[in-house]
Amino acid sequence: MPRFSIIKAFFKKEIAQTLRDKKMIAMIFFAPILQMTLFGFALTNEVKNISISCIYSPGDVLARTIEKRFLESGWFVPAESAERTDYSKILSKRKAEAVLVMPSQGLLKEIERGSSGIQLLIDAVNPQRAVQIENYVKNIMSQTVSQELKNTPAGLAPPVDLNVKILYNPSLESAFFMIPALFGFILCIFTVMLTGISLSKEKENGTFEKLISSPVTVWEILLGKTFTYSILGFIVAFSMVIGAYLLFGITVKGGILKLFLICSIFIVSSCSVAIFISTLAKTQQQAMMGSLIFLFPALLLSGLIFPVENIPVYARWIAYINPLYYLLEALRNIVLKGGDWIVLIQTAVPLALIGTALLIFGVKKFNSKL
Amino acid sequence: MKETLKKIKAIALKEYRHIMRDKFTLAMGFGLPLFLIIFFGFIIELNYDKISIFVKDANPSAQSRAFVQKLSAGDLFKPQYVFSDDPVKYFERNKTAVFINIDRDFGKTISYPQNDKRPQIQILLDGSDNSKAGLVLSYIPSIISNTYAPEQTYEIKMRFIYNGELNSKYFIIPGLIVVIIGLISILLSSLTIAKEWERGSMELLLSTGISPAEIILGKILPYMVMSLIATVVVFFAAQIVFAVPFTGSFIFFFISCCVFIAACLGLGIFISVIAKQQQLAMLISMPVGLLPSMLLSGFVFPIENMPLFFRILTAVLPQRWLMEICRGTFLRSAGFTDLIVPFLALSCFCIFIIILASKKFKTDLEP
Amino acid sequence: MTKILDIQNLTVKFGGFTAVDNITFSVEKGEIFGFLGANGAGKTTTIRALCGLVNISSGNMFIDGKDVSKNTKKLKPRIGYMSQKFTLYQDLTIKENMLFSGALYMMTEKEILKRMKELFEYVNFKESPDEIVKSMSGGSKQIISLAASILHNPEIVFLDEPTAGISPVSRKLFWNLISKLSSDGKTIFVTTHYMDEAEYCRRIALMQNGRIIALDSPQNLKTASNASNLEQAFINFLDKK
Repeated sequence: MPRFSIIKAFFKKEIAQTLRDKKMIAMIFFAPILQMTLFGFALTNEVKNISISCIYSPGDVLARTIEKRFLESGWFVPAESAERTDYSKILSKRKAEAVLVMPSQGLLKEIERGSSGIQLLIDAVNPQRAVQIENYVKNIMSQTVSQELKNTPAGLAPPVDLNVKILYNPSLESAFFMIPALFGFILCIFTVMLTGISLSKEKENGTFEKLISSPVTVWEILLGKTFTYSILGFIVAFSMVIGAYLLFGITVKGGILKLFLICSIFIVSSCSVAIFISTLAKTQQQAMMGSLIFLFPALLLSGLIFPVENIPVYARWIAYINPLYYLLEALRNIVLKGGDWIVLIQTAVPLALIGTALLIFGVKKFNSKL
Repeated sequence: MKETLKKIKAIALKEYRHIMRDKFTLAMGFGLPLFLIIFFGFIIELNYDKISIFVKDANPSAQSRAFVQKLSAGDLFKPQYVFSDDPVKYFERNKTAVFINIDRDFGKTISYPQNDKRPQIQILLDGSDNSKAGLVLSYIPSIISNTYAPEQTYEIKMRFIYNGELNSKYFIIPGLIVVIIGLISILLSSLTIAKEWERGSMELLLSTGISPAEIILGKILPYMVMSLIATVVVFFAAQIVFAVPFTGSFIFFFISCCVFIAACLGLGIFISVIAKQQQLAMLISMPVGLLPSMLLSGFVFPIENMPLFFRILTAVLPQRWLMEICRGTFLRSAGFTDLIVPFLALSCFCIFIIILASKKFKTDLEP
Repeated sequence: MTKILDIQNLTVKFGGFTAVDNITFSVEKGEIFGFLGANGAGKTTTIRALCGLVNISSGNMFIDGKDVSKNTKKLKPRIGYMSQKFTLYQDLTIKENMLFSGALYMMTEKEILKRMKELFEYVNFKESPDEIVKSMSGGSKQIISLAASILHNPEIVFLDEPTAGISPVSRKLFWNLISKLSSDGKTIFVTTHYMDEAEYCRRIALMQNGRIIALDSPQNLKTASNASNLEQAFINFLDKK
C-alpha cells in the first residue's frame, strides 16, 4: 500500500523543482493557452476560399449570373481572369484552384442545343477538396440555371424540397471542432513530456540511485510522479477551458464535472505512457525520442487531422489503442452535445484500461536495481 | 579561410564519430523516417468511405426507395433504415452523423404534384464534425436531383488536374515526407549544443578559439548528410511502395531538400543555443517542431483558409515552403521558375536562422 | 565486538564481466572500515550490493544477522548510503532536499528540521538552509549530501568516495564528522583514494580486480609489508600479487 506521506513529499519536491525555473513556468502555463489560441484561430477544415476563374464571352448573361452566385455563396473567391486559349496556365501557376470554361457561343445556346461544351478543371492535388469543389460548382450551376430559365426543360424547379438542419454547430464553425481537439493535443503533449523528462532526468543525474537506496517502493515513486504531473495537467486543462470560453465563446455543454472526469482518466493514462517510455529510456534524449515515437502517431491518428473511420480495417486497432482518440471522442461529445453517459463509458473504460495496463507494465519493468 | 574549413572539418568529424557510435541516433536518423512514411502511408486515408446515414422512412414508397438506392450507389454512403423519430439520441451517442427523414406523404406528393404540398426530405446533420457535415451537405442535393429531376440537358466535362485518379495517397505522402524529415532534423540537432554545455565539453571547444559559426556549421554537416540519405530513402519508398508519380525536376527537389534540412538543423541548433539545457531544449523543440509542422504547414489544413495574419505567420515555417515545393515537383511537374518564391523563402530562412544561432551563441562561460 | 556486516563468498557479474569475485569479510559494529583500490576494482559494486541496489550472482550478505537479499526492504531504513555521484537535487534548496530525503524515511517535518540543525551544528556548517544547492562549493555539497544520508539516523553508513575532488580543508572537516559518527556507535564503511584518509580507518581492505588482496589495520599492513607508510605498503602488496 503506497504511503500518502511519501506521495506528498514527491509532490512538494517536484512542484518546487518545476516552479523554480521561470522558463518552465512559462512553458507550462503560457504556452498551452498561446498554442490553443494560435491554432484555434488559424485552422479551419472546411472547404472554402476556393479561387475560381470563370471564362465566358462578354455577352453571356447567364454565365455572369452563375459567376456572381459562386462568389455570393461564400465558398469561392475570384481568381485572376484568364484567356480562353491558355487557361490551364493559371492552374499550373497556382493562381486558381478551379477553372470553369463556358462555351464561346454563350451558355444559354449550349443548354438549348443540349450539347456538352462546358468544362470544369480542378486542381486535384488534395482530392477530398477537389470532389467537394466539384459538388459546389455543380449544385450552384443547376440551381442558378433552374431559377433563371423557369420555362425551359433544363430549368424545371427542383422536384423535392430539401430541409436541412444542422445540430450543435449550425454555422459549421471549425473552431467548435478544433478547440476540443487542440485541448486534447496540448494536454497530451504536456503530460507525456513533463512526466517522461522528470523521470529520465533522475536517472541521468544519479538522483535515482538515492531514491532506490531509501525504503520507498517503485509504486510510491511512480505514483508520486504521476500525482504531481496530473495536478499540473489539471491546471493546464483548466486554464485552457477558460481560454476557450473567453476567446472562442465555447462553453462546455455537458458541464465541467464530466469534462474533468474524462480528463483525469486521460491524464493518468498519459502519465502511464510517459512512465512506460522512461522505463525503456536511459537518457533524457532517448526519453524525448521515445515520447516522439508515441506522440507523432497519437496526434496523427487521433481524429483531428484524419478521420479515424477512414483507416483501413486491418490497421484500425492502432487507433483503438490510442488514448488520445478516446479523449477526443469524449471531449467533442461533452463540449458540444452534453456528454451522453453511454459515450462517456465507452471512452472512459478503454482509456482506463490502457492506463492501467501501461502502469502495471511500467511498474513491472521499472527496475529498482541499477 | 583554409583554417576555418579545417576547424569545421574537425568538428564535423567528431560529430560524425558520435553519431556512428550511437546506435540509437543512427536508428532514429535512418530507420524512423522510412518506418513512419510506410506506416502512415498505408494507414492514412483522406477520402471518406461508407459514411453512415440513418434513414427514417415512415411510409416507404418506390420513389423513396429509389432515393436511398441512389445514396448507397458508390462507396461514399452507407444508408440504413431506422424507426426512431429521435435523431438527437443517435447523435448524442455518436451512432451516426447524418439523419434523413423522408416525409410520410413523399411517395404521393412526388407522383402527383400538388400545389399546397410538395415532396419533402429533411436532413439533420451533426455539426460537431464540421468537415464531414460539409462534405455530406455538398453531395445530397445532387443525389436528389439525379434521382428525380429530368435529365439535365447540359453536361459538365470534368477534368481533375494533377491527380486524375483522386488518389489521396498522392496528396498525403509528399506532405508526410516534409513533416517527417523536418521533425527528425529539428530533434536530432536540438540537443547537440545543450549536451556539450551540460557535459562541460563546450568549455574545451571554446578555449581553442573556434568561432560559433564554425561550431554550428561543423555540427550541421554530418547530420545533413544523414538526413539527406534518409530523404533519398524515403523518396524511393514513396515511389516504389506507393507509386506516387514524380513529375518535376529531381535536381531542383534535391537541392531544395538540402536547403530545407539545413534550415531545420539550424532551427534545432538555435533552440539548443538559447535553451542551454537538454530538458528545456526538448520542451521547446517538441511543440515547435511537432504541432506547427503538422497543423500550420499546409500538410492537411489549407493555408489559403487561414486568416491573413496567420497566413503571414506561416511564412516563418520552413515546412510550409518545402510542402509547396514537394507537392509541386511530385504532382504539378513544377520546376524552378514556378517555385522560385518558396525556394527563395526557404533559402532566406536557412541563412537567417544560422546567422541568428551564431549571434546568440554565447562564447563566455557565465551562466 | 559483534559482526554487523558479514559477507561470504560474494560474487557479482555483469554479463561476462566479474565486478566482484568471491570476496569474504566482515565488519564490526562501530568501526570505520576502509575500502581501497583503483577505479574499477569493485568497491562501488560491493557497496551497491550491500545496499540492495544490484543483483548478486552468488554468495551471502548479512547485516546484523539478516540476509540482505531477503530483507532488503526491512534493512533499508537501517542503512545510509552516499553515492559517489552527487545525488541531491541541484535545483532545490538545502532545506527542500532534506525535507524530501527525510520524508522518504517517513520522518515528520519537525523531526527532519531538528535533525538537520543538529547535524549542521555538529560540523559547524554555516550556509543558510534556503540556499540553492547548485550554487554551493564542492565541499559544502558533500557535507549536505552526507547529512542527507544520515538524516534518518542509520546504524551503518556507506560512503562511496565522499571526499573526491574537494579541498584539503573540507576533507579535514568531513573526516571530523565521520570520526564523531563512529564514536557515537555508528558503523562507517568508506571507500577512498587518499592514503592519509585511510589512516583514519580501524581496518582497511585493499581490492584489486574484484578480489580483496589484503585486509588488516593500517599499522599491521605496514608491518607485514615492511613499509614505512601505507602507500608503500600497498605498492608492495600489489607487486606481490
